[in-house]
Amino acid sequence: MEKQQYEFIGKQFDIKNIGKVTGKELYSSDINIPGQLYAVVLCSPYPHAEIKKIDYTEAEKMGAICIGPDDVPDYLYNERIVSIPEKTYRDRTVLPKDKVRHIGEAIAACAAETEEEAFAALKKIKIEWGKKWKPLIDLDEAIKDDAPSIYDCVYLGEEKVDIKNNIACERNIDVGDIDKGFKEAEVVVERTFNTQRIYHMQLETKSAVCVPEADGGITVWTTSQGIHNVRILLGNIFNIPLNKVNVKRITLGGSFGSSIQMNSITPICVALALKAKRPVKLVSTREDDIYDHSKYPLKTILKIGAKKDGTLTAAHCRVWVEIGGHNIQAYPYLGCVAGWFASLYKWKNIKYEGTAVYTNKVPTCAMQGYGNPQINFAVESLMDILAEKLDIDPIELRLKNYVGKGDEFWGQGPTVRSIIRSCGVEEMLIEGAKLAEWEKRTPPSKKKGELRRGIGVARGFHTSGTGGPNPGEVIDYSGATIKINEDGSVDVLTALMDHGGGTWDAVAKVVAEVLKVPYEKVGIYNEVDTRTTVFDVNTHATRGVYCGCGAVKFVAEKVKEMLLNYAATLFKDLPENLKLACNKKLGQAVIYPREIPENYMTLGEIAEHAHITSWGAIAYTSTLRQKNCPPCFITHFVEVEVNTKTGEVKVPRAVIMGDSGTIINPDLWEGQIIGAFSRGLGFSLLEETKYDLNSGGLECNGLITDYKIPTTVEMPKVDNIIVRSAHTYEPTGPFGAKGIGEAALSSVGSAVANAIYNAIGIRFYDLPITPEKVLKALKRKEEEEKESRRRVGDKVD
Amino acid sequence: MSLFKYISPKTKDEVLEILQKEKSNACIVAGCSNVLPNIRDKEIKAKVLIDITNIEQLKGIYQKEDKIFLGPLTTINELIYSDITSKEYKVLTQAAQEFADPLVRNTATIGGNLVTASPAADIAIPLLTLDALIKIESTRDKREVKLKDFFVGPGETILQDDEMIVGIEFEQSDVNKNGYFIKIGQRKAMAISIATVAVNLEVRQNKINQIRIAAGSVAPTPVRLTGAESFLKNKEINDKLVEEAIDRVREEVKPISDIRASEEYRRYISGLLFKRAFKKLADSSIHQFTN
Repeated sequence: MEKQQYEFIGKQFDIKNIGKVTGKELYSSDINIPGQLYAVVLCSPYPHAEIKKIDYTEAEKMGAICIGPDDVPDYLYNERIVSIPEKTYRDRTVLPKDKVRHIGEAIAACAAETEEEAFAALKKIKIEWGKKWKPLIDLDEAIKDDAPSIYDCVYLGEEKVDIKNNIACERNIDVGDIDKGFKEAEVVVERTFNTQRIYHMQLETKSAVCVPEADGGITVWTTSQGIHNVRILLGNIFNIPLNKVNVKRITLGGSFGSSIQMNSITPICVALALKAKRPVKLVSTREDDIYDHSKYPLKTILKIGAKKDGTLTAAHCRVWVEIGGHNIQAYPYLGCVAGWFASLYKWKNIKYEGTAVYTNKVPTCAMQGYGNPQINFAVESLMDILAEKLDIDPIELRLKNYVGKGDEFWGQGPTVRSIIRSCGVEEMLIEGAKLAEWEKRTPPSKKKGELRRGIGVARGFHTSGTGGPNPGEVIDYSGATIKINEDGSVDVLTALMDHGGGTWDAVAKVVAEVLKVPYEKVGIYNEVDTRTTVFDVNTHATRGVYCGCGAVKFVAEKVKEMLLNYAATLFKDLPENLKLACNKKLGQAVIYPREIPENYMTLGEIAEHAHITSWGAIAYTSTLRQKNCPPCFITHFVEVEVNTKTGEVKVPRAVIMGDSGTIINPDLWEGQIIGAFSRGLGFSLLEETKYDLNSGGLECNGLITDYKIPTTVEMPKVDNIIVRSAHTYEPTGPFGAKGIGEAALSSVGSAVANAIYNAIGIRFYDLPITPEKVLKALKRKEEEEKESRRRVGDKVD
Repeated sequence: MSLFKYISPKTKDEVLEILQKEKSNACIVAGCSNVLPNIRDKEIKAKVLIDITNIEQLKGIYQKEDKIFLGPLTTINELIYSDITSKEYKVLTQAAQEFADPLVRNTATIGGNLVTASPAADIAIPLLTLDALIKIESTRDKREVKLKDFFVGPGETILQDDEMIVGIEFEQSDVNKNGYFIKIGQRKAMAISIATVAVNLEVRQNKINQIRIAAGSVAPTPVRLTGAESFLKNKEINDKLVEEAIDRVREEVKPISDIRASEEYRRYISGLLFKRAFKKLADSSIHQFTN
C-alpha cells in the first residue's frame, strides 16, 4: 500500500488533554466525595513472618473502621488478568491470610474522618507475630533446598500447583536442533548478563476512591491502565454482579506498566468502604509506592554460534528472574522474554529455558518493555562481542541476521505470533550510521587521555499490541462508541487509557480522518466508565495506537457508513456516489455528490435533519481484535564520554531512529523516544533498588531522596539528540501506524554499554554501569596490562 | 502529623527571647528546605516553629571594614548573583551553583545549611576554606567561633538551645579571593554530594604562602584537612608535591560507605577533586607549573 496524504494524521494540533497544562485535570487523588473517610494502610516491617493475630479493637474504639486478613474474602487471585485464566497463577488475597512475604506488604488498614485520625488509629493495631524467617534476597539463596518456603502451593487457573525450591514457574522452548546448530558453528561466544531491579517512579502514586452504592454495588476511581479488568476483578473478589461494579476512567499521572494489574491498594479501599458503608479514599505515599512494585530483574546466560561469515547457527538462552513476594505475571514474562530474544535475530536453532523464583522482595511487574530492555542488553552486547571476534562491522552483522519483513515475530511470547509486514531496520541502521558518523569510529586502543569517547549501536523493538491471527494466551481487543451530535461534532467514548503519550490525541485524529470532522470537533472525554464503554483490555504492550486506534477506526468507519446512508436519502442518490470531505472554511465535514462539490450539505445539517425527522442517532458501538502484532523497531546510536579518573559516563550525543509506520502524533512520538532515552539512561547508568540482606528493606528506606533518576541535565543537549523516522507503512495498522512506547527504551542500555566498550575497551555485563564499577574495571585492566607487559618482559630477559 | 505553634517575630531580640523561653521545644525555620522534610520524617519534634524570614537584620551580603558579612538568611541564589561573592569569592558562588536546583536555591539559606550540620552541607565547605567566623547570640551571651570548630557530629553543632547564628564573616584577604570548589554527585542536580572539595590558595614566589582545604561527605562533619594544609605550607609547588598531597588528603578523610558511594570511592575521589582544584588555582597563580 502506498503512503497517502492525510488531513489529520501526522499533523500537529492543540493537545486534547488541555486540563493537564492548565492544572485542572482530575486524577484519582483529586476525587472527593461528601462524607468520605480517609484510609491508611499498615505495612509489614518484616520481610517474611507469620501473622498470628491482629487485634484492632483499640483502633476501633477511636472511631476508626479497620480491616485485617479476616475481613477480606478468601478469594485467591492474580491482580493482572490480561492472560487467559488457565495461564494465570493465583497466589494472593486482598490482605495476606497467613504470613507476609515482603517488607511493605499491606497487612491491615484503617479508615477515619481525617487522615491524621486514621494514622493515630493505625498505631493502636496490635499484631502478634509468629515465626520470622531470614529474608531471601538473592535468587541463588532462594532456590537452595534448605531455604524457607515462601509459598507451599498456589493455583494455576483452577489447578493446584505445589511450589518447590521457591520456583514460581518455568518456561522452556525449543526450536530446531540446538546441538546440530552449535555443531555447524565456527565461532561460539557465551557470557552471563545481569540487569537490576529499578523502580517505576511514576509521578502519581497509586490512589483509589470507592463509593458503596445503595443497590449493593460500588463506584471506584482508581489509578489504572485498564478499567474493565479492575471491574471484573473487584466483582469476582467481592462477589458483586459485574453490572454493579462501576470503575471510572480517570487520567493517569504516569504508570510505566505499574497499573496493568489492579493496584494492591484498590481492593483494600473497596473492602474498607464496604465495611464502613461510606465512601473511602486511599492515597499511597511515595514510601508505600516504592515498596509496592518494581521492574523485573533478569539474569541471562547467553550462548550463540555463528559461521565465520557472520551467519548465525544457534542460540541457547538461559534466564532467571527473581520476582519478589508475589507472582504478578512471571509466566507471561518468561514467554515474552523468549519472544523478544527469538525475534531479534535469525538464530535458526533455539533453546530457551526460563525460571522465575520467589524472593522476599517487592513484587515485580511490567515496566517499559516487559523484559525487552533486559534481554536486549544481553543479545545486543553479545552481538557486538561476536562482531569483534569475527572482525565484522557490528552494523553489517546485524544487517545479515535481523528478523524482518516476511519473517515471523513473537509479539507476546511463543503463542502470539504474526508475520512482519513492515520493517525499517535496514534503513534505520544505514541512515542512522550516516547521521552518527559511524565511519569515523575508532577502536578503543586508539583512544587516549582522561576523557574518552566511544560510539555504540544497538537495535531493538517492541510489539504493537498482543493480537494475532489465532487467540493466544493473552486477551487483546479494544472498543469504542462513536456518536455524531446534532451540530456535526463528534463524541468518542472509549475505555482506552492514555499514559501521557498522546493515545487520546491519536484517537481524535483517527476519528477526524475517517469522518473528515475538524479535529477540534472530536471530543474524547473523561466522564466515561466501565458502564458507558465497551471492553478495552489495557493500554499496555505498546498497543494504544495499533489496537486501540485500530478499534476506533473500525467503529468510525461504521459511523461513516450510517452517515452516508442517511445522506443518500437526502440527496436521493446512492451512498457510493457521495463524497465525504472536510471543509476547513466552514469548520465542518461536508457531503456532496461526487464531482459536484458545490452541492454540499454539512454534517451538522445532515445530523440535524436526522434528529428532527426522528431517523435516530448516527452512532455505533463495537470492539475489534487486531489480527497481527507488528513490531515497531528502534535503533540507538549513542556516544558516551567516559571520565577515566572518576568513572563517570556522560552522554554527549545520540541518534535515535524509530519505525512506527505512519506516525500519528509526530511531536508526541519524538517526545516518547526522548523520554524513554532518559529513563533508559537511568536504567543503564544510575538506578537500582538495593536491598539490605539482613533486614530485607530497601537501602533507600523507601525515600526517593536516595533513589535518583536522571534529570534533563543528564541528557545530551537538545541539538545533539537526533530523532528520525523510518519510511514505512504498516498495512494492518490504522492508517499504516504501529506503536512506539516500549520500543523506544528497549536498546538504550545495550547501546550505552556498547559505546562504553568502544570508549575504554571494557565490557560491562551488569547494569547499572556506575562510576565505581567503571573505575574498578579500569584499575583492573591497568593492572592486567602491567602484568602482561611484565610477563612479556620476563620472556625477553 | 503533630500540631505546631507558629510564631513570626519581627526582631532578632524577640527571637532570642522566645528561644530563651522555649529552648529545645523551639525550632527556627527560614527556607524550610530541610525543616519541612524533617517534620514529615518526624525527626523534628519541637513544638514551636519560629519563622525568622521577616527579620531584616539577618539578611544581606555586604562589606564591613576589612571583612565580608553574610546574613544567615542569605539564600543560596543570592550568593550566585551578589556582586561581592560572584566577583571576588568565587569559591562560594561555585558551591552555590552546584547546590540542589534553582527552586531550592531560592529558599534555602546559608544559616540553615550550617545549622543542619549535614556532613554533605555544600555551603559549609567553601566557608571552611574562607576560614569563616560564626557570630552567635543568645539573651545571655554573644560569642564568635571559627566555622571549623562549629560542627560536632552529623546534625550536631556547638549551638546551645537558646542560641542562634546572627552572622557569618570572613576576611577580604588574597587567599580568600583565590578559591575553587568541586562537587561529585550521583547526578548533576538535586543530588546529595558523594564528595566535595574546596581549596583556597595563596602563592608567593612559587611557594605556598597560605592554603586551606575543606571536604564534604567524607567525614562525620564538613572538615578542614589541616594535616594536608600544614604539609603543603611554605613548600615550593611541583608535581611531586601535589602527588604527595593527594595521598595526604586520602589519608586524612574519614569517609563511610553508604547508598551513594563506597568508602573506597570517596577516599579516591577526594584526592582527585583536591588535585583538580589545586591545579586550577596553582595554574592561574604560576605559569611554569606543568601537568
